[in-house]
Amino acid sequence: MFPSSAKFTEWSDRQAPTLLILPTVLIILGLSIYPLLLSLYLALSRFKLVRGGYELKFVGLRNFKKLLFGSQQYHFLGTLGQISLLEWCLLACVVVAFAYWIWRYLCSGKAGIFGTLGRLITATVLTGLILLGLSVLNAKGFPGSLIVTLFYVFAGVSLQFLIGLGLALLCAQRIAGRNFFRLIFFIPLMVTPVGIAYAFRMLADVSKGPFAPLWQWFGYGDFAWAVDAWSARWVVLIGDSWQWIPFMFIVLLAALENQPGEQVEAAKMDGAGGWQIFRDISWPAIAPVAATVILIRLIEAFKIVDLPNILTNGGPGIATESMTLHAFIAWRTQDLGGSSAVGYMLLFVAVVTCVSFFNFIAQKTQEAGT
Amino acid sequence: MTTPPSMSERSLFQRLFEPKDIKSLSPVRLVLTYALLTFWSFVVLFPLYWLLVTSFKLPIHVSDGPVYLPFIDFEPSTHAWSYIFFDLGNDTFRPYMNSLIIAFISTFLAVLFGSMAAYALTRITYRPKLGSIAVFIVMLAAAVYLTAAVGVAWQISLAVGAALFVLFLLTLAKRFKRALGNNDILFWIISQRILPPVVAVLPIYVMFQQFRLLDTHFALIVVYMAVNLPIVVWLMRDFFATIPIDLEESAELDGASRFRIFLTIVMPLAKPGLAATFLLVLILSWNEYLLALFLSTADAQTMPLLVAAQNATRGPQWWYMSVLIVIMILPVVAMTGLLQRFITRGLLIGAVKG
Amino acid sequence: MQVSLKDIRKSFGPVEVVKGLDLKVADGEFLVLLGPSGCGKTTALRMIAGLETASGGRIYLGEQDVTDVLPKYRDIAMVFQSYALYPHMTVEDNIGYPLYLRKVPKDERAQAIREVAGKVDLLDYLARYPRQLSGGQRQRVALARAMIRRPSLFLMDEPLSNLDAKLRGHMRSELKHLQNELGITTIYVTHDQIEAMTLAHRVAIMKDGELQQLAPPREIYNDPANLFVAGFIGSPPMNFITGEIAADSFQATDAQLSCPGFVDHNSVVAGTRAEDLRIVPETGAALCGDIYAIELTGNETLVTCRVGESLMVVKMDKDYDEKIGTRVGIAVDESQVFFFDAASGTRLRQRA
Ligand SMILES: Nc1ncnc2c1ncn2[C@@H]1O[C@H](COP(=O)(O)OP(=O)(O)OP(=O)(O)O)[C@@H](O)[C@H]1O
Ligand SMILES: [Mg+2]
Repeated sequence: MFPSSAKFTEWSDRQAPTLLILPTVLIILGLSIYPLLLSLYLALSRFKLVRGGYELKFVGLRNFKKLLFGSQQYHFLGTLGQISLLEWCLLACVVVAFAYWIWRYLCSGKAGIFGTLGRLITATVLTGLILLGLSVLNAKGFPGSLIVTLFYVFAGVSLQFLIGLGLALLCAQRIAGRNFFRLIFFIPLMVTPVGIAYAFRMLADVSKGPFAPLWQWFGYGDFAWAVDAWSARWVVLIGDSWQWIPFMFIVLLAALENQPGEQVEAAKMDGAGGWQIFRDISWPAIAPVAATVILIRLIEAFKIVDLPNILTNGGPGIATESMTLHAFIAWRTQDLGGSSAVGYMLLFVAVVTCVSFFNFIAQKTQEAGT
Repeated sequence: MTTPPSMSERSLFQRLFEPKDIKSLSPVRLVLTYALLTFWSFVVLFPLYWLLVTSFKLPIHVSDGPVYLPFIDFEPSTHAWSYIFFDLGNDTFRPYMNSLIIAFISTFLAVLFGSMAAYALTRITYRPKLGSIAVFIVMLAAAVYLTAAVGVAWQISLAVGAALFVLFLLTLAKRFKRALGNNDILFWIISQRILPPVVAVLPIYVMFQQFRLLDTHFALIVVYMAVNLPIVVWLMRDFFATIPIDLEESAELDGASRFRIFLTIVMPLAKPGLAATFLLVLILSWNEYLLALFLSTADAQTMPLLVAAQNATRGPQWWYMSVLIVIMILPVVAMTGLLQRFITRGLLIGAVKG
Repeated sequence: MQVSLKDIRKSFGPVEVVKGLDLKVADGEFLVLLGPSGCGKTTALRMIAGLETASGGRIYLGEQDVTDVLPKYRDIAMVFQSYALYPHMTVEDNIGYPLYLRKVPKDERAQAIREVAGKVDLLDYLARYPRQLSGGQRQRVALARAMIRRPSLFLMDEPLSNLDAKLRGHMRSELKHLQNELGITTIYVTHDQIEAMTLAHRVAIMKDGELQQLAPPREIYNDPANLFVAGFIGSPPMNFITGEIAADSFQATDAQLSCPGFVDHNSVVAGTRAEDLRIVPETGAALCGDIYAIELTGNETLVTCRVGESLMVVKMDKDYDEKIGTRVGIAVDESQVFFFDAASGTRLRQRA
């Protein structure tokens, strides 16, 4: 029969299932799982340089305690202010909404141990974050890197999604030159974030930047955005969005173009208007894709660091510091334990957010879509 | 029932808001669409234009307030370009080469290994046995022991052991629910992307320090490959799933081995997906900043670090960094142009009848 | 090469879709596997190819037990239902791929490609890609790719099912001719009985994963082994009446047939084919009924009559006409009546 040229081919063929997947598994074990575990140990210890090397001392949860209640609280959680009555009412509404959500799940007849547990975790963590947000975002408080990161993630991803979707809808129409626009809109994705940071620093310069005459005309000629916390955060957010809107745009456009044109035409024949077509036909068709790309962006947005680092250097003060930048700064001051602890908090928040989004939102749309 | 007004009865106002036919847009919408698209093109292009213009400015053009048009507003100068290319010379050239080498090699390896795994996960049914998981765990433990033996405290091994035990219990718990399958492996691989690099990079830093690999190409290549693998697996798996399995079975009957099927049938068919994935991963590693900041200082310095370094003690050197940013965009644009040809669909049409 | 299957089985999870198939295919034979959709034909074929591992039983190619041998060592060529042409290769590369895998030198390969391409009339298309070909041409590429290496066994899974009627007829004769010329054992899967009848040396009829009958086409038609085969083969389908046999005679409402030599049995199905029936005046006829419908099909007329509870189709010549509802008699060629046990479907035969 077929002459086997070498023993090796034969062997590799039999071992193919293992050989194909082994490199990936090994790389991930070696460079993700293993560091992750080591980092956990770092987070639980204190790092000290000694002569000719360093020393690790196990300190238990002290690093985390420092972040949550101790000397680093202002940096991580922020300065807590008084929560007003109105805000307490708002919080009560949130709690009631979560309670109702879980209650409905329990009554749906499909409730399981894991489902309930997952929902409880999601509800608790989100309520906690909202509480924290309320207490640091009022006049007396000042947000730390956790809330700033969440601001970048949620405001950023929403902004990017809405604009990306809008552009995709515009480009999905049958108009001349759409391929040209598509090409143009793709470009920001290719620019290095460090470069974007510098470019936006130039553009945002109210006295020497290209829009300086405009600012002067509006009377903001000597407004220093870099010393105002919120304007600095918004500049970072806009720079980040400028880069990532194209990603949302490209994927959503592909999804829109994939839906059969006949459906839209049939709906037009039935007399549906633009908004109805979007709501009843286009949106259900692209919802699973939209959920996936939001998930991808959520995952990536938590890692934001280049822009705040270059654009504002984390400042004014710590106003624009993201958690990754916070960890980096801690590392630079030889506080490896604190750095790892911040990293672990970031991991925790990111996992809860992304897994909640995946389980409770993304999967719903996928089920509905198929 | 109301009869629709006939063509002639409609007012100008109505006609502005109604399309000529079902496939075209009404004039108002057309104008609005183009206005918005043009506006966004401006938003996208202006920062790039500004970078390009700035790279031809003298410091005085920047410090005296904005000037916009070369030759009209100001006399362009190539001083920044000549500084970057001739005065800095090797100091520009080396990071550039570093970036090229690191980005291309790591992307190539990530795409290769990632597609192998993605292919295996779509075509081969894995039933991870507790036994094999145990082997992995033993291997990991051995690795931990090695690190510990080379110099890290014993508590680490302990912590790792404990964590592994938890993982082990988790897999056990899973086992009771249902057997582990391909989707579990897939989820496990993809979920690694959630891991913030800053969590993993400290131990990696320590690890590479032990092996004296800091500030080498190797370190960055390996790390970039690891962080981008999950993306490759995620994207390529969807792509491989669309390739008809008949093609592979037919090749198998004809006597091709798994690897040959993978290389001569599957990979060529997956070209569009490969091209898109390659491009995305290339962009990510080419522009990466944080990991490079940790793992390289001089010899393996990459371009983003060089750009960031232009924020010298004399204040940011806008003209120099503009040049650097502009030359950093070029290879990516070139790759996009090159791969564009492959990123077209429709190759599969005709593979299957009907 | 001769192929034998010994009690092969296949289960997908809890459902068994092939339930103990025994089959022996002689060297050079053209065997057709015929059965309704979902009866396990494709599964059986894929087990022979090795693409699916059998849950039980043994498969032999020639003298060799290949049950656990990888597909690539079985020396089998398969034409897939979807053709499975490689879209990124030209017709020439597609056809030559099996030889390329065997490291046949380039010029020798080109020679072989031209030879088979000539056989299936594809010489003008060698430089094209599959997407630039019509359905019939693609099918010929698939055939050529299977033929080029002279395998010891051909497997074909409904290769003609997506072609139009005319092309299908043409390809049928082409296939038959090629198989005859090459003399390679062939197993061919279809659910089209005309294809089965015209192509096969022997037909194997399957139902729900079990073999019903294995015989030459003529025998299948003239001597069906059970109720299922009798009903499955033939167009229009065989007419069935349920009744009983008592004292060498079959009795049912409005029906009486003499059947010497059959044992008494109280639940019997009698089957007759439309061409063995004739409409006659009512008096003295074996069967009586009302005309239910009349269809002219071109060169003959199909008359449907209601006899008792059942409908019977009678084939008359094209000039026959009668009002619907008229009561008529039906004459039967009694040597062409088949009797089956109504419960099990097994054929009842005359005592020797
Ligand atoms: N991979 C599979 N997993 C589960 N069930 C399967 C699988 N493949 C086939 N089946 C089932 O096995 C039965 C037989 O399938 P098979 O494809 O052999 O039918 P077939 O006779 O070829 O039908 P057709 O004429 O429609 O092609 C079907 O009921 C099918 O649903
Ligand atoms: Mg089939």
